[in-house]
Amino acid sequence: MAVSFVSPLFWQIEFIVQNGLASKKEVKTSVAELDKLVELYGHDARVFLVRSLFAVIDFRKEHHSHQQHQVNLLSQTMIQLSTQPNFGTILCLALTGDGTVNSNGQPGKQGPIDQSFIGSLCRVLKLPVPQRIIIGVALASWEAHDDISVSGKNFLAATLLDISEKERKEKKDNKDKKDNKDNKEQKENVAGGGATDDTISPLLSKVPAPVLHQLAHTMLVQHARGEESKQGDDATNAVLRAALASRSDGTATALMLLRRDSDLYMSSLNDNEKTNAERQVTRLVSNPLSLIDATASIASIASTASTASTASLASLATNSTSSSATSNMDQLRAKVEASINIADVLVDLGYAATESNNAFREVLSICNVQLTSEDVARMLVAMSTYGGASHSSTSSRPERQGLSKQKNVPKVSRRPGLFVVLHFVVVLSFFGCCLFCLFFFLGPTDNSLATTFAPCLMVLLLFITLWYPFFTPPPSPSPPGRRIGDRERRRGIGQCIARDDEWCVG
Amino acid sequence: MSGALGESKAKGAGALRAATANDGGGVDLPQPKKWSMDVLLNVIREDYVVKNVFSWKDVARSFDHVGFEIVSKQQFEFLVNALRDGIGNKGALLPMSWFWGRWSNATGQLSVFKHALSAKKMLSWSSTNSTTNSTTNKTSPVLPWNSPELIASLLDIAVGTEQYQIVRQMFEIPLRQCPDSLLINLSRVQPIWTRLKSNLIDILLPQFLTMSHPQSIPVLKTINEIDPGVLEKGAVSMYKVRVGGEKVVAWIVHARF
Repeated sequence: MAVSFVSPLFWQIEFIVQNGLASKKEVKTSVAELDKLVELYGHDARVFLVRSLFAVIDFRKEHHSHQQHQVNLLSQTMIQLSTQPNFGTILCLALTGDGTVNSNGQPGKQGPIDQSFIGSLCRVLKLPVPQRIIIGVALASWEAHDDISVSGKNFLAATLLDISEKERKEKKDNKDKKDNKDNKEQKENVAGGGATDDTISPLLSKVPAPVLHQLAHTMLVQHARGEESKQGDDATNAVLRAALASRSDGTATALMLLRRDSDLYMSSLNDNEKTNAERQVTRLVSNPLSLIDATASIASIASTASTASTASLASLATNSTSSSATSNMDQLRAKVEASINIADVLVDLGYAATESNNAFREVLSICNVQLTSEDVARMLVAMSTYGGASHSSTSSRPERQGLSKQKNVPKVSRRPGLFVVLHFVVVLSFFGCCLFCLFFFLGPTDNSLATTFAPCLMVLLLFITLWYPFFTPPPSPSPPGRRIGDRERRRGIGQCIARDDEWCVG
Repeated sequence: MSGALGESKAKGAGALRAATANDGGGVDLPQPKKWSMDVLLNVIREDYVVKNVFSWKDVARSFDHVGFEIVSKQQFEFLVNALRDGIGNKGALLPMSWFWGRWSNATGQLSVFKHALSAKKMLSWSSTNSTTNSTTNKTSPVLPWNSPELIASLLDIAVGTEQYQIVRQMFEIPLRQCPDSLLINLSRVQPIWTRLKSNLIDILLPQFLTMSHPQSIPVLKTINEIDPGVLEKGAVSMYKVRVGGEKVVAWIVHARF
């Protein structure tokens, strides 16, 4: 993101992060102000806040006592953001630029983003396991930088290995305790096989289903490429299988079916003949849009592979799956193309779309649309709605008629505050002083004190009066909350009632 | 999804246009400040209307889609002028017969009629698809309320309970200004009895049955020719409400005569 530091908003955020959070006394007010700024200005402010925090905190250091507040704020922000679907984008945008990585991939002042950096990042911020997994998945899918993607995958593998070891230790402790109580149960549990049990993984249970899906896909591809050791492969397989077993959604079911006959299926993937099948299946698994048909397809693959004794049948089944996936994508593409409304395209393009006959024909040809009478009707309605000339001198984008007049837009009513009172005081004083001077200059009495101070006071008040408009506060941003919708505005029913903290349509 | 795709398509088209227009010279061309209706109409006329893919009447009929509603006079004039220019004859009147009938979007149709009734100059209310200019046509132009199709369409819209009051208010003007033609055209409308039609006839008919209107006799004769049931029903309802039986007999005699 090309950040313009001309913006006072970014200056303010950076100032608070660098100075406000550094002193104990101003922490509360600084955090509150940052919250307000993020709430008012939205996505860009949030990204810049995270980026500023990344730039301030030195993750290579062991101790961060002097940056404790920045670390706490970043930790809270990361945990809060990790639940949002665009967390990966925010993280990548925050890491690009001042913090760690330049846009051209060169390492920033904190050095390259490798596995150790990600580990220290999670350790410094004291992030729980789900957030670590989410960060790892986000970085692993950052395809713009291969080295960061590999680091993310390695970090994920290491994290899963740690989780499997932790769970193995816990199970061992539990079994030891049970051994003391009942010897018979101990023998049965040992025969069951420790870490490979399909029990619910408590550490991964809080990871969101899409992230778990992406994690399974990433690790599956990595295993198929042989980028991990056999021991780590087994351990992560066990952890993933346990985590997926605890889910009841379609993705988990599909992956479980895929892994049910993993011996035959994974061996076919690990062969040299695997490439096509691997690509198709991983694409199928990683594509949530084809999930519905993919689940059935994968089930058919698994059943076919379990009954057949050769890998060729499995590959045949996979090829059939790939063709069904392709047809699904074609259907999806056809649906998407059918949903394109030429009137929306016209509005998006703006007035330039009808600049000339050739330009308009070019638009139609790009959209690959054979116009119908309904399309023309919709275009005319859109043009009538977004008619007239744009108020901006540079923009050629159409504006909705009536909005520029702000007829029904609620006005923020200013209460008569300190500035209004001050305004009246200054103006009245100025005129009073004028009268005072006039009286003493033209009056019969000769008061030297009054004739000396009155002109000075008059000049001073004149100066304040002239400069007063420059000291008035900037207009406050519009209050958050529900605004009048375009539909309601069109219908002219936007009689607005201002309540305490929200705007609603009466 | 369509919006996002539209945007992407738009960006591509915009980039293409900028590339073809600027030729890499780096000189910003002046951006247009409004839609060029001539361009749109020319392309549609040359590529579709002339080739009989669809006609302008089909375009007018296609306003019957979800979400269509005219909210301002400017929007109505924009659409009417677009269709008039699309027809190609300068000074042509837009035939309102294109908008008659039963629409699935009754709100949109009602908004068309509402604005059309206040902008009579650009429109032709004739039952035929005549688009000739009123100045060239020697006969007097057909007033909106002389059109049974308009009344039938409005009555049809009013069947829905949501639009009843709005349509009822629209009939206030002809009730005051031209009750005779409204009553005659109401009697021509099929189906015979709807709630709003009954309401309007109950209001109008007593004016003529009591001979308080100067055109009472000719109007009653015409109604009797079109639909005698209207007169009988009106007379019976008046008998129940207001007056005695002798006058009712006299009215019927007058009417039959």
